[in-house]
Amino acid sequence: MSPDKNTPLGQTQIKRLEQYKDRWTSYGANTGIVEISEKPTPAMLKKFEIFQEYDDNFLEKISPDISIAKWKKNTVLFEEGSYVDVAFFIASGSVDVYLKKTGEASAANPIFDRSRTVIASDAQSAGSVQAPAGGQTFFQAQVGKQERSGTQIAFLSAMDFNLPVGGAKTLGSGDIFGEIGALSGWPQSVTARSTSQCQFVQIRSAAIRMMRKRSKAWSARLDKIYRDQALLSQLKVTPLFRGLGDDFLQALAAKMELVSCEPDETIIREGEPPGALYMVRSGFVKLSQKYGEGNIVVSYLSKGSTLGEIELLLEGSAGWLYTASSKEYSELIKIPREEFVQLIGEYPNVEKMLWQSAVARIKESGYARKNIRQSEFINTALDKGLVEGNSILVIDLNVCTRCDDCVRGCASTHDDIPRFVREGDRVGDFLVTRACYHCQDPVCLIGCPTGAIRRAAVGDVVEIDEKLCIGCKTCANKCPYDAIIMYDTGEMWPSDMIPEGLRGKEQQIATKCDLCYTDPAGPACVRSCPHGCAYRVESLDEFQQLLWKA
Amino acid sequence: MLPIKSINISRRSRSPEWFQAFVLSVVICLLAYGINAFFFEINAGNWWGLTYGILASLLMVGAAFYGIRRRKPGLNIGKSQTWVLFHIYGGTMFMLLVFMHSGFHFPAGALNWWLWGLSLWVTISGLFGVALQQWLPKILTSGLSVEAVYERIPELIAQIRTRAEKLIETCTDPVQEFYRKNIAVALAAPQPKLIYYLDITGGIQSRTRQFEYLRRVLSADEQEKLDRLESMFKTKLELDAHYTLQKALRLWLYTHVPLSIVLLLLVALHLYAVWYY
Amino acid sequence: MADQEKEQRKKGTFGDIRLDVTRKYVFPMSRKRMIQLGALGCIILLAYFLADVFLLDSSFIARGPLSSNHANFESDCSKCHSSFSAVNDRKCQSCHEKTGDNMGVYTFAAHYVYRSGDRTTRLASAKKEYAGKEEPCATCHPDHLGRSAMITNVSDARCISCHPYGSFNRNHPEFEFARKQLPDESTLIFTHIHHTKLVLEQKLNKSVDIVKACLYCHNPEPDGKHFKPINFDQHCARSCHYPVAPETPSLAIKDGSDKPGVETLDMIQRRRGPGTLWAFYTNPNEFRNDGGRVVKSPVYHKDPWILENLASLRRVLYPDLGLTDLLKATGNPMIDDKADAYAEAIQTLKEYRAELAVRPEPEVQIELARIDSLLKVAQQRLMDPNMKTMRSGFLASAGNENPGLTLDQRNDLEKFAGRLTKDCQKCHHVEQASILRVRVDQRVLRRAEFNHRAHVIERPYCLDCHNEIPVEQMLLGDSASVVSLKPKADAIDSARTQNIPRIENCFQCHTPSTASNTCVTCHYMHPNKTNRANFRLFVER
Repeated sequence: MSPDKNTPLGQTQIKRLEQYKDRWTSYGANTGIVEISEKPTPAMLKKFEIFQEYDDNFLEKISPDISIAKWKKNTVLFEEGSYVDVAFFIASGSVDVYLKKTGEASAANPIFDRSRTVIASDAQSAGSVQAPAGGQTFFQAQVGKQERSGTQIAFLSAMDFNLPVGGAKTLGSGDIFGEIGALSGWPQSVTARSTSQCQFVQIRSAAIRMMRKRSKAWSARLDKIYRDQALLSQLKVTPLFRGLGDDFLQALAAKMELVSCEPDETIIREGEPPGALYMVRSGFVKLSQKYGEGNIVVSYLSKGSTLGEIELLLEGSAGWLYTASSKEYSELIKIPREEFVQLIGEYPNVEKMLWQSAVARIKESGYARKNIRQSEFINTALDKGLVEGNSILVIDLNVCTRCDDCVRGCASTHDDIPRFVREGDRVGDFLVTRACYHCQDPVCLIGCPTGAIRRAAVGDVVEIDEKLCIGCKTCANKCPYDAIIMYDTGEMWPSDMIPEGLRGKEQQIATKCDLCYTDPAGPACVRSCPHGCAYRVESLDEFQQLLWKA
Repeated sequence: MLPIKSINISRRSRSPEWFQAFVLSVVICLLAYGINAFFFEINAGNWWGLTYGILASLLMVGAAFYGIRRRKPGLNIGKSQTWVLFHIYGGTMFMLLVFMHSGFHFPAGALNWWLWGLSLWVTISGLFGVALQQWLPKILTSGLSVEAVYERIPELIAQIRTRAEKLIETCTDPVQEFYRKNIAVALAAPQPKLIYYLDITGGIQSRTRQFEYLRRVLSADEQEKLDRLESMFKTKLELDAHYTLQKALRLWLYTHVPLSIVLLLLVALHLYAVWYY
Repeated sequence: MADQEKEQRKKGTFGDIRLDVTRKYVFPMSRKRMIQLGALGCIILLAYFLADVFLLDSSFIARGPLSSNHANFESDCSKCHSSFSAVNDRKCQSCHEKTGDNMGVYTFAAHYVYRSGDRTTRLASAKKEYAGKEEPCATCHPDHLGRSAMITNVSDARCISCHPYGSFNRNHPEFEFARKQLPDESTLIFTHIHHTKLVLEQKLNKSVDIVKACLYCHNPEPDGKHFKPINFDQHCARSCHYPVAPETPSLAIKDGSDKPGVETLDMIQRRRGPGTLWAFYTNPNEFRNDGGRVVKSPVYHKDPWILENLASLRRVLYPDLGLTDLLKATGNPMIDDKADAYAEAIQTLKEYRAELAVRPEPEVQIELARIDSLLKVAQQRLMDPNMKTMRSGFLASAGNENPGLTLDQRNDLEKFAGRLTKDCQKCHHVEQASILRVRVDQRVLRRAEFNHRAHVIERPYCLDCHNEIPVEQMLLGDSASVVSLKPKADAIDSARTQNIPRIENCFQCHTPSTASNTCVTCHYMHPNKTNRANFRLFVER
C-alpha cells in the first residue's frame, strides 16, 4: 500500500485537458479527418439542432468533449468490436453501417453477467434456449471461443443495430450512431464507413450524459434510438426473456423505461412502495439494507440481474426490501408493474426463473445480514472493483515471503519489464495486486485512439499491442484500479511517427497484464510463486472461498 | 455467492502429498538402509554406499535446479512451487542420503569433512529459511496493516517525512518542537530493530504515548494535525517492522546460496577424486 | 505536476511508483551478489585444490594421511594411484612381490589357500578358479587411515563383507575338529592319565603339580608360541622306554620257500643291499637262534633289523612302492608333512648313494644311476611350487598289491609282519606292513594362529583349557569321583582324543569389551615369508 496515492479519479480529471488534444488528433491521424474544430463555441454548436435547446453556459461547459470534424469519403470511422466513447451526429453526408465479421455478429451478446446470474445457467441447463436468428446460439459460439475454464464471461458487444448477417444500413444527416457503445462501454457491433464526405459532431460520453440529464427530449431521443435499434435484439438473448413471442416482446419493449444512473445515485429506497421490475443493462447496483443505525451492503446487481421480483411476486409487499444505488454509471430497464403482471401471467417460465432469482437474493442477503464480514466483503468488492474482475491476482500474505518472484516471472516473460508491482489493497489476509483484473466491462478500452488496447482473441483477456500504442495514457487514466502502467522505454519516438506530435519526444508505452494468454501453462506470476500463494481468482465466489474456506 | 455456490478453489500453499511422499521416502530409505546394513557393510566405497552417494548428488543437482528456475523463469520449466517443494524435501532427503552414504559415520579426509560439513550447513540453513518463511509472513500479516515492497520502504519513509514536514510547517511551536525532538529522528530512515521479531508492533503503545501529553495543551485544530502526525508515525513503525522482517527473509539466503554453490563445486571435486583415484 | 513527473521518470522507470525496474526492484543486486559470493568461494576453493594437488601434498582430497609404511609416497600419488581407476594390484606387487619370490603370496587367491583349512586347495588351482573374481588389495587393505594405522590390520567389516560371520562372539563356528569330531591323526597309541600318573610318581617325587608333569614331555619352543614335537629319544626313552622291549617273539628264518620269514644278520651282511651298513655294526649277540627261528633281544626304537625285515615283507606285498620304500614309516595320514617325507626320502637316497659310491661292481653303478635320477625327481618335486604332488605319493595302497600272491600267502605275510612288529605296536599302528608315520606337528587349528605364550599369563594352568581328558580329576580327585569317572576316562584317554579347548573357552576372554576379538587376531591370510617351512607348506598345498 502506498500511503500517499492519489485517487485515480483525481488524476483523470487533472489530466483530462491535457489528453483532450491528443485524442481528437489521433482519431484523425490516419483515418481521414479533413478538418477538425475542437472545443467549438456555443455559437458554433447552436447551428446543430441537437444543441439548440441548451443554453450557452451549458454548451461552454461541455464543449471540451465535443468536436466538429469533416471526414473524407470512404473512410472507416470505427470497426466492429472497437471501443469508442464518442457518439457521432451526422450533420451532413451519409454513412454505411454494416457487419463485416459475419457469423460472430450473429452471436448477439446478451446483457447479463454469467458469473452471477442464476437465471442464465438455469436457462441453459433447461435446454429451453431457442437459437437466435443466425443459427448459432450464444453458448455454442462461446464454447468455441472459451479457452480458459472457469466462469464463462460474455464478450460484450452492443447491438446497436438490428442488422441481419452481412446486411448494411445507410444513415443520413440527422442520425446519431455510436452512442450506445459510448454510454454503456460496450464495443461497437458494426463497422461504420462514410459513403460521402461527411461532417460529424463528435460527442464524448461525458457530454452525452450531461446533455441527457439536462434535456428530456435528448434523453427521449436517445432512448428511442436504443429502443428502435438495439433493445429488442438484446432482450431476445437475455435469459429471462428468451423464448418470449416477438410480438409480446415488442409490446413490452415499447413500455419499458430506460433509466440511466449517475454514480451513487439512489434508484429505490427501502420501505418505499414497489412499482416496477428493474433489470440492469450495464454497471453495478449496490443493494443495502437497514442494519443497526445505518445501512449495510447485502448484495449487488450486475448486468442482467433483476431487481423487484421479490416485492412484486410476493403480493402485498409493504415496500422495497432494499435500497439500491448505482455504483459508477449504470443503465437499467424499468418494467412497470402492469406489464410485469401480464408477463408472468403469460409466461410461467419467466415467473419460475424470477422465483429462483428471488430465492437466491433472499438467501444471499440473509446470509450477508448474519455475517457482517460477507457484507463488508461485498462492499469492498464493489469499492475496489473486484466485481468487475475476471481474473484478479491475489496473494496470500500469510504464506507470501515477499520474494517478488511473481513480478520477476512476469518480467521475464515480458522482455524484463514487469507488468505489475506487488502492491495493492489488502482484503482480509490477501493482497489484491494492481495487476489487470480483465474486467467484464473494460473501461480502459474506451477511447483508445489506435485500438492498441483490446480484447485478445481468447476469452476475457485484455491486452495492449505495444506496436500500436502511442503512449497517450488514455487507458492508464481510465483504469480505475491503476492496473495500466506507463513505462519509459528510454527511447524517443521515431521521426516518422504518426501522429506527428509525438516525433522526437520521449517514448512511453502503456503496459499491463495480458494473463500470459499465449502460454498454455498459464500466467507466469502464478507459476513463478515458489510458495503457491499467488492465485488468479476468476470470480468473487472463488475469492471468498479462498478467504474463508479453503 | 458463498451460501449459494461452492467453487472448487483451494489453497495451494499446503502440500500434504509432498509431505507424505517425503515421509514415505525417508521410511523407505531408512528401511533399505537397515536391511542393507544387516546384510552388508555400508561405507562410501562399496556399491551400496556408492548408490546412496549417487542418489544424493542427483538430488542435490535437482535441488539446485530450483535456483535456475528462480533466476530464469523464462525457461518455463514447470511451476516454481513444484521446484521449491522438491528443493525442500529433496534437499532434506539429500542430507539423509549423505548420512547413509557415509554409513552414519564421520567422514575421513579434509575434502570429505568439508563436504559433510557444508552439506549439513546448507541443509540446516535451508531448513532455517523454511522456518523463517513459515513464521515471518504470518506475523507480518497478522500484526501489521500496511503492506510494502521491501525495496520501496526507504522511499516510502522519505515520502512520509516530506508530508510530515509539510504538515509541521503549518503547526504551532510546541508541535514543531515536539516533532524536531521526538519524531524527526524516527522518520529519518528505516530503523531495523530486533524487537520486531518478538513484538511485531514494536511497542507501538508505549512509543505513541508521548503524543498524549502534548495533545492536552493543543487546540482542536492542532490536535487534528497531531493525530495525522501520529498516524504517519505509526505507519513508519509498521514500515520499520516490514523492513526488519523482510530483510531477514532476504538475508538468510546469504547463509544458504553462496555456500550451496561452493558445495556444488565440492561435490564435483569429490566425484572427480573418486573417479580419478 | 507534469514537470515534476517528467523529471523523475528516467530510463527504465516504471509507472507511478517510479521503481527502477531493472536494478532496484525486479533484478536487485543482492541476487547477483549471492552468486558472486558463491563464485568467489568456488574460485578460492578451486585455487586451493589446484595448489594442493600441484604444489603441496594433495592432502585435501585424500581421505587421510598414509600409514607409516607408505608415508614416503605421500607426495607422489602416482606411486599407487593411476588415472581414472582404482589402486592397481600391480602397483602393490611392484614392491611387495619383489620380496615375495613372485609366488603370488600376496594375491587374492592366496587367501583362499593359506590356512583355509581345505587341504585340497592349492595356490595354482585357486588362482585359476578365482580368476576374475579377485578383489584388489585395497579392498581389504585401505590406506589413508592415518600414520599409525596398520595396513595389515584388516577390519572385521572387510572380512564379514564376504564371510557371513557377524562377529567372533556372535557367529563364529566351533573349531572344525570339535564340530566334526575329528580324531587326532597322530597315529600313536597313548594314554595321558596313566603317563601323567607315572611321571608324577616316579619322576617328580610324588608331586601333585600336574603342570610340571605336562611340561615333562611337552617342552615349549624358545619363542613360547608352540611346543616342540614329542621326541622318542628325549621323552619316551628318558629312563622309561629303553630299550623298547626285552625281546622279539621267536620268528621263522627265511628258508627260500614261500613261507614268510626274517633274514638273519648274516644274510643281510651277505646280501649287502642299500641301507644295510648298520648290519656290520650290530652286535651279533643280540640274536638268538632257536632251531630255524630267531629271537632278537633287546628291541630298540627304530630297530634297523626289524625295519629291514618289514621292508622286505612290504616289497613282496607291494612291489611298486616308489618313494615310500625309502621311508622308515609310511605316510597314510601324513599329507601335511609331505615335505618332511620328501626330505626323508632324499636323505635316505643320499645315504644309499654314499654307501654305493665306493663299490666298483657294474650292477652297483647301474643302481647308482637309478638312485641319482630318483634323487633328481624328488628334489625337483620338493622345490617346485607348481609341481603337482600326487596325493597318494607315499601310500601303499590296495591299488599296487602284488598280483602274484594268493590270499593265503598274503594273509600269512601280513600276520608275519604283525609278529615281527609286535613290540612296535605297543605305541605304533602297523598297516600294510609298514609302521604308520607319527605326525609330530601337534598343531590342530588349521585356519587360525594360536600363541601359547600370549595366553599363559592369564591361564598358567594347562588343564584350565586342555580339559577334555579328565586328567586332574582322575589323579587328584577323591576316590568316589575317580571310580565314577573311570569308565569315561578309560574310553577317551587315548591319543585319538584331541585334548584341545572348545571355542567357548576363547569366548570367555575374547569379547568386544576385553581381549581383542577381531578376525585378524587369529587369522592371517597371507603366509609369513620369514618362516620358510610355513611358506613351503603354503606353496606345497
